[in-house]
Order: sequence, then C-alpha cells, then structure tokens
Amino acid sequence: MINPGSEDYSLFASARDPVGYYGLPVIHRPHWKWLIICYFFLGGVSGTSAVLAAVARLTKHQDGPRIARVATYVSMGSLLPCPVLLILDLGRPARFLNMLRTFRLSSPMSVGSWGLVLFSAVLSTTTLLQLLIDFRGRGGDAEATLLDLSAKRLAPACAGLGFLVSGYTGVLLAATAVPIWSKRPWLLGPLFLASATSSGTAAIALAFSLVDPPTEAGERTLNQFEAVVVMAETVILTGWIYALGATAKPATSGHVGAVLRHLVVGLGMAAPQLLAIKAHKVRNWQTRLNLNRAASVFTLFGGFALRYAVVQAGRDSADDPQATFDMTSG
Amino acid sequence: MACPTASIRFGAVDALLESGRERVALLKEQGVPATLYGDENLGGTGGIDGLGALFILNGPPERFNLPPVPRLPRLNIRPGAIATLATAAGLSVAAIIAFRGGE
Repeated sequence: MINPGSEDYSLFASARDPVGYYGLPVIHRPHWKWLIICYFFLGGVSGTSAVLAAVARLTKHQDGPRIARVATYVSMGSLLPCPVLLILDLGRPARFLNMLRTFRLSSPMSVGSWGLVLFSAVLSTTTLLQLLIDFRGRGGDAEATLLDLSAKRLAPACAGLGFLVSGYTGVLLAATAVPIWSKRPWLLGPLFLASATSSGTAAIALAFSLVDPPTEAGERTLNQFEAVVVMAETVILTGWIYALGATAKPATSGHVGAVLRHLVVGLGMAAPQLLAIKAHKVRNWQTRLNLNRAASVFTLFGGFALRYAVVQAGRDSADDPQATFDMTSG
Repeated sequence: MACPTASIRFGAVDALLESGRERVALLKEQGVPATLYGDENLGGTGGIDGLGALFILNGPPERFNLPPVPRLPRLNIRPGAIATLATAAGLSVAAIIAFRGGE
C-alpha cells in the first residue's frame, strides 16, 4: 500500500497505483462474529430437526413416534438460545421488536425474523403437545389420540417454517455486496440448508442413541439419511468453491482455508462417511452404535466449522478491493 | 484532499445530471478523461437506476474506490430463494424415502 502523504498528486488519478484507492476496501466488512455464527448453526439445527420430527410423525416408520419425540426436543432445545444470540447481537431487546414492525418480502432479514417468531410459536405448541403425550403415555384413550392428531396437524406448518428458519440465512448472506457471498447465490442458500440438515440429523441421531434406548430401525434410518445429506453437502460445497473461481480465495487460503479443508471437509464430511461405511460392515451392535455416534459428533463439528468459515471468509472477501471490482466491472 | 469552494452543487437530480453531462463533454474537449459517475451507465447500474449524488471523475471509478457497475444485492434473493426451495424439496423427498424404508 502506498502512503498517501508521500505521493505527489498528479492531475490524473490513473497515474497512481494500479487498482483501487491505496488498497483500501471498497465496501464495509460485515461485523458478524461468534454470536451470529452460533445463531446460524443453532437455527439451522432447530429448523431441520423440526422438519425431521414432522417427517417421522407423518410417515409410518416403526420408530416414528420415538424419533419424532427426540427430534422435537432437540429442535426446541436448539431454538431457545437463538433469540438470545440475536438480541445480544442487536444490543437490546427492543430492537428485535423493531424487526417485526414491518414485513418485506424483499428483505431476507425481515422474512427471517417473522419466520423465527412464527416457527417459535408452532414449535412451542408442538413441544407442549409432545410433553403431554409423554406424560400421559401413548395409551389408546381418546385424549392421547387427540394429542397425537393435533401434533400431526401441526407437523406440516412446523416443517415449512423449519425449512424457512434454517434456509433463509444463506439467502440473506447472498443478498449482500460481499463478493464471496453474493457471487453464486443459487449455491450458497442450498449449501446452508444442506449443512443445516446434516447437522440437524446428526444431532437427532446422537440424541436418539444416547437418550432413547436406540433400536435398530430408527438408528439405521437416521444414520443412512445423515450419510446421504453429508454427501449432498459435499457436492454443493465443491460446486460452490469451483463456481466462485478466484473469488473463493478467502475461503481456500490462509487460516479459513485450513478450517475449511481440515475441519469442514476432513473432519465434518470425509470422516463421518468413512465411519458410516465402517459401521455398516460391523456386526456388533454396541460398536456400530459408537461408530455412528462418532460420525454424528464429527458432522456437527463440521457444520459449525462451515458456518464459521463462510462468515469469516465474508469478512476477508469484503476487505479485498479486487474481489469487489471483479464483481462490479460489468 | 479538500474540495474547492462551490465545487459541490445541490439541486434537482435531473438538472444536476444534465449539467454534469455538459461539464464532462467540456472536460473531454479539453483532453481530460472525465466520466460522470452515478447515472444509469456508470455507478447507478444493476437495478439501482442512478444515484442521488453524482460525481465527475478524472479517471476510471476504480481509482476512487467506486464500483463501476454495481448491482442491487437484493436481486440475488430470487435465485437464492428458488434454489434453496428446490433443495428443501429434494431433502424432504430424501427424508420421506429414508423413513419409508423403516415401515
């Protein structure tokens, strides 16, 4: 960078350094850090867990009711810190209410705020029904049937809003001026949703194997689905990095690059797949359970690391004037 | 660098746009590589429909750290939302198939 004071100002600005204005960033960097990274992760887990709870409730899987129960509690548990994180980021609670004074389809943050509030309402109701079902037992009496039916009626709304809460964050990042986020919007949204789904499934699989005495059918369904989603996530991430071209540099080099390679891809994608393949071959039930638990833990780590890498890469990308000019040279 | 007195003008955007274009034409005649930044061709592009503040630049906008052809970020919402919805549909189908396997 050239020191402005030491340069002789010529009449034509073009006589100075080759690109930009002394290498200064063109756009302001996003201020988001750990609070928002944690929110992206937990919101993603909560939303997709609600989706899986709904699927488990509505299909006739033999472990359906048990998976739905675990998934509902996982979803509610990971939703609880979300408003706290957002309010801490905003500074004071009244500012969150300000987000709800308007509704704009052209603002992902507005849609997301409303989505989060509606999702909280529907999920809290579902959790309450689930608690009542659990305390009353799943007997065949009329009241238990009514509770079960109510939870089933709420399931589609819960799933739809769950997808909204876990998917809007990627669209929100894509609708900024940050080059690495906005260059390929049709891949960042799907990447966030796929990553949220793998994290959510891993969280449920882990909780199911630890809390509920796991049974073969439920354990197999959750782990197989987790493996499929991790695979889809790997494909989307590779496609995103490839499609970004030179803009991907903040995500592939330096400290963030190391996080992406080792923690996201290595630990969070490759390791769970290898463990899943190994678990598939193992006959011993306890060994298999442990292998799948390890796979779920790694998937959760990878999901969190991906949010960190994408947010941090956005900060670095915003600081790079060349990246912005590449996006805005027409 | 400070702006010389009266170098900043205020007024209706249309009038400013017109006087800016005249000024740029005059400067070009004098051999200065002047451009007007903030109209629909430069700086006010990509759904922005021109800026409320216009600049006469004596070089390419990059030299002043201004993006030459910016685009409204919210134009990304539609492709992003459609792709995310499609992914959600795909994941739902995959989940339903996975759970059907355990019936």
